[in-house]
Amino acid sequence: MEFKYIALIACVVLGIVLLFFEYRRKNRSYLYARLAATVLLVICLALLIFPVQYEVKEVSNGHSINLLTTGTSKDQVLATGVSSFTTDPGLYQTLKKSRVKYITDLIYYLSDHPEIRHINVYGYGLSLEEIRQLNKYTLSFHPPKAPSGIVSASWNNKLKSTEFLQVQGTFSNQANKTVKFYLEGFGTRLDSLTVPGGKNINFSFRDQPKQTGLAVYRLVAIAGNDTIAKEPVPFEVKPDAPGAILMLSSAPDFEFKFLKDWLFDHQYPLMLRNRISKDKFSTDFLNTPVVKLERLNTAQLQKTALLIIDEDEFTALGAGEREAVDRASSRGMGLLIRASSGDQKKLQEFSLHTENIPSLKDQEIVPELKNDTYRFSALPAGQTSFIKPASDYKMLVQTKAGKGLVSSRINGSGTLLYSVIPTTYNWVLDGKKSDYTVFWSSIIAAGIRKTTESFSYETQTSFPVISEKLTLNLEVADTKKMPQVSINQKSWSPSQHPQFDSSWQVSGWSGQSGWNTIAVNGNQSAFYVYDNTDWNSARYIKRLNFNNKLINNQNGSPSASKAPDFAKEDLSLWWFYAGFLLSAGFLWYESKNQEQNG
Amino acid sequence: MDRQEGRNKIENLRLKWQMLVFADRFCISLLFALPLSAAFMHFFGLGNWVLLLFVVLSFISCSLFKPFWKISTHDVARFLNISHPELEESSGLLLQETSQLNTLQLFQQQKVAETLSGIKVQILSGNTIIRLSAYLLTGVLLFISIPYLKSGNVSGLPGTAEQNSHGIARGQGLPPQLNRIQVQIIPPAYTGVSSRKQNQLSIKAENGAILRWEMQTSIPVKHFKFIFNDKEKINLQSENGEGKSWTLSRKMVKPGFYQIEMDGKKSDLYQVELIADRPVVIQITQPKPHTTIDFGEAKKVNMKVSLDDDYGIQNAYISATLASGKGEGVSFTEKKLVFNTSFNAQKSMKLQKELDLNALGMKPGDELYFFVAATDNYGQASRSDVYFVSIADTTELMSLAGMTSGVNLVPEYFRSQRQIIMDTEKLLSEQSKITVQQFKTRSNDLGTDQKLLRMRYGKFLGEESETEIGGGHDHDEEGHDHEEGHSHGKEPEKTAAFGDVQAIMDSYAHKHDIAEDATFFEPEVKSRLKAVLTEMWSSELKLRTYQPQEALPFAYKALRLLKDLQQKSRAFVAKTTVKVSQLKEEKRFSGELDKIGQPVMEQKKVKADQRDEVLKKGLSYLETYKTASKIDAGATANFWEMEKYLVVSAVDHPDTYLPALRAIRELRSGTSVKQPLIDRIQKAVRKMLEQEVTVPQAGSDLPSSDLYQQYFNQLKKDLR
Repeated sequence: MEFKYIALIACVVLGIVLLFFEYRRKNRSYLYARLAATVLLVICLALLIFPVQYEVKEVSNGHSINLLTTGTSKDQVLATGVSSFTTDPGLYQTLKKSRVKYITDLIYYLSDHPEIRHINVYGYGLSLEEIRQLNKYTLSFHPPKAPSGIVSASWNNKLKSTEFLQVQGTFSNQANKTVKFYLEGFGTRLDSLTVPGGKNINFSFRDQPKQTGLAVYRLVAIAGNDTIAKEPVPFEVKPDAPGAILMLSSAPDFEFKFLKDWLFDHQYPLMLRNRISKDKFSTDFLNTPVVKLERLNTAQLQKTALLIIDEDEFTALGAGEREAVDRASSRGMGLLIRASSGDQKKLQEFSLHTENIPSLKDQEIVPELKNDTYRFSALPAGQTSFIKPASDYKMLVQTKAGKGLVSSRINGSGTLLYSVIPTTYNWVLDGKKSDYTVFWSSIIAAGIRKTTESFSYETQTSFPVISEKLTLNLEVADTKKMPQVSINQKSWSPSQHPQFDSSWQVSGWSGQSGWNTIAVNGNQSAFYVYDNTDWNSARYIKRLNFNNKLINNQNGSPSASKAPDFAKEDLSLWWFYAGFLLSAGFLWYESKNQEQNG
Repeated sequence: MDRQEGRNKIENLRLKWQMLVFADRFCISLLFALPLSAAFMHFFGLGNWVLLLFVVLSFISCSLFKPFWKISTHDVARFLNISHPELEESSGLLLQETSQLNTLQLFQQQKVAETLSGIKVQILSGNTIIRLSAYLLTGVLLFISIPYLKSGNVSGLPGTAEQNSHGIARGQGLPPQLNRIQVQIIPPAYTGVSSRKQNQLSIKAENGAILRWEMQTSIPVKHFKFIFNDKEKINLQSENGEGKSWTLSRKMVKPGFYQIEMDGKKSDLYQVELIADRPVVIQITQPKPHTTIDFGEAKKVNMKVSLDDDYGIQNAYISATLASGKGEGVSFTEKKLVFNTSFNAQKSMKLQKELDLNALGMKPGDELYFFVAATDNYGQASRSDVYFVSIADTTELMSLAGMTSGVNLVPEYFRSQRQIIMDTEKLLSEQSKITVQQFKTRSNDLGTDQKLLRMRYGKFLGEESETEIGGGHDHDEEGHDHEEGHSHGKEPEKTAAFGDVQAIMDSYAHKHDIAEDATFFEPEVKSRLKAVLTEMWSSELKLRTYQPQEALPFAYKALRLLKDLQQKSRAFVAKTTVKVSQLKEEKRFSGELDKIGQPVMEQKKVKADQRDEVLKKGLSYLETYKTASKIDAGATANFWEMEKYLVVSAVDHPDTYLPALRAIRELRSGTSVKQPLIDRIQKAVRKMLEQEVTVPQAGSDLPSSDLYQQYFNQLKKDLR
């Protein structure tokens, strides 16, 4: 039994006993007064043991603190007045003189001071985790001026060999000085621009990285002799793995021959089948083992990344072969049909609509890539058939006048390409190799079967920093069992996404800035963890934005803290002590008096 | 012992004392002077004279503090009194003349002289010797050690090297025992550049120059080697077998780098850059690449050529080829024309030459091709582009060939121009026979004809036509449409049908250039026609001012342009005589093919050279090595490979790639400051890799494509 009840029973028993004796006393003078005094005595004793509590209405406005975070300016500190706190030791050092108090742990401090209900946040704000922990409090945010420097930047951090690195973002120059801003890598200045004072500039730097593997470029901003920013731009270049290409031609021609040579030069595994007579083929196997190619089959097509075929050969395919090609195409294989005959009826079989414009016969064809500014030189005149635009087709290449030359259509997970250009090898003959390369590169890249990675990952924040918790979201192909994740040769435990069984998440502390290795089921990759000083401006802007958003959201919704709050307070024990003393004193004095009288 | 002996002794002591103080001052001054002068020589690169200067200066200033020459015999006497109490403070008496002394003093003098002879005075104590030798030793030690200090300010920069007193370039990673280096560069004689000497080991010399290294070592060295381009090793023999002085001469025809090895210790790498001899640069400023000399123009071409070479021009001439004749009868004659100047290996020349086409035997219709060839004093030949000069053939223009056949787009007005020329020539030949008045009238008539002709052509261009002169000429065509409509009053209803608004408007309107006519020809033809008209204008002007002789060139030019115009509008199709047998359609594709094999080709492309792969990987390895403390075995192997390729590149372009090669060796030796070295290597490697063309790259799918595939299949099923 609890002490509470024992004490209560004891008090009741004591009260009854005392009352009994008072009642039974022979001298019955002051009987009622004595009885009342006894009751009061016992009650006071009981209340001494169990103090009385009462509820008071909370006065919320009186208890708020100012919390200063990084980026608080001196003026702001002066404006905040007295009770200002900070958890940032660096900030504390600089603002020491302004009577700012330092607290090591905010949550701990707040639980020590329950009267605090409201927090004014100054500076760039709190981390997401900290804001979540402060959900019981009302917050108000007083952001400073936006930071200057590289306020945002992004780049393609996973490249394939020969691809271009493109770094884009915004540079905000709030000072009056002109800033020299450049991208630097491998000891060389790669691309640069100047930012005049007081201006915001969107920048876009481009470079073709020459390494395979990991590298860190740097974005450097220099004002006069001061380096105002030097931010790492980490990225990885993976070696190219060319996919297998199969070419079927109804007759030996130069277009296929040149394309074959070009692909062979770039080390593509390649099969070329030329029909030379009825059911007779001449076949070339380049960088691939020799197989039977008289009839196409599903197994063969599954290994093929791109099938290039001319329209005559396509119509000559048997029904079974067509079925196989269609199935393979819908499962991801690229299919390029060279439809240069201009025979509209035949083309309608492929649901491709073309138009015949004989007036363009004498005009040279100058192809243009959509979404690219590359300028091709002209191809010989003579072409009259062009692709008509249609809703389910995407035009890849067209003439200057907007007549379609190459278009693509989605077929399942594969891509279907049609080209009505009769010849492109003229570029090679004219010595314009780069035209040929750019043309075929973009067309093949648009169609070729995509490679599937064994796993992919991304960091939760775009600039993971060493001092913050690291969270990685993983996508893993094998959904049957839990993936073995290790970062820097230490194994981490992932947690699965409740809905998507291929999504996993790991979080923890990487403990090492720079490149960190990650291995998932034995497949290695690397990600970059930044130092605390890297990308300051960009990170502060991000923090400012989400603080603004979160704190404004919180203030907008009627939170629980808005309801009238009651706090319990103890009634002072002195009152009961006094009552006890008085009643006991009366009883004592009365009995003494009776004895003297009696 | 008498007074004189005592005095001699004191004199003796004075001399000794002076010498001691002198030695003392000298030692102290050396203590200051030696380190100071060493520091000056080392840090400011001053010569040996500094040492002498400092010694003298400090000795003088030291001596001024304690002037040894002022030590007198009285000083000696005072010293003796202090150090020897038995002299009873009276040694000074010995220095005084006996005659000036009283008896008591004489007695004392006697006594002192005797005492003095018994005293052994010691001026030079052991302590002094130790003190002085300590001064000397410290000074000398400092003097020797200061040059070994790292000079803080300049030596860090690459390529700069200060020289110390021996004239040797330090700060190049040289073995310390090398004392003196001198490289003599003897450029080939033809350059006319005098030989020069330098103390730096990085060399920039003319191609084919002889380099002569002279080196001296402070200690004998057994093996002294030069390693050129990391391959070729040359062992040096020292002069007179002492192993101290070494020389090597070598003719350099290929750039590269070298290294010195002394007893197995290798030096840094030094580049040898060669300046190649340029061939002569020839620029023809006059005439233009194509020149046509028309009838009447002087048959001379003035030529202006400027020549430029880096060391000197040896010779230059014009090579001219004359092509005469037509069709199959073309004959070529080659001629070499010389400039009338002498060549004394000047570096730049401006030449002039007048080509007399008549002297060359050029007739109308012939063409002359020429170019200028020049050789420099190294024997390198160069030549200019080929220039053309042709003389317009007037007889060809007059011939009817080519007009009798083919499509005659432009009507037969050519003959008129031909006729005008013929008539003009006829008029000129008859000038002496006819009167001046007749001559003028005929000339004017010809001018009128020329005008008419011009106007007819002008019509093709839609030009305004005139009617005053020769109004009666063939205007039966639509010509009258273009007449000026100034005949307002003259029965307009006669020409215009009643109610024909256009006709009425035409008769009132003043029509200038008529656009509809102008569309008959292509723009190019039109521009040519315009040129013809201009020539005709000029011809007409001359004819009307009674100068038929001067009108001829313009008339000829007009004719030539017309002829060109006519030729342009013609197309030639070669005749073919091929007979094709009739195909039997039913037999097509019905041959038996079962014995015909199917050709199968197999090829594999293996890149023989791994250079690009190695360099590309190397760039990344270097990047990780910037922050990592260790590199794995794969990376080390890669560095070795990369160095091989760097050596190859450095041989060809030492100025670009040698710093990187140095850096990679320095990096391997394990240094703490990696970043700048790695940057330097990466920069070079990046340069070695050429710009790549984009090759098609497959995109990549997310790994969880199973899920998407299922979703896709489900969609497809629903659609069916």
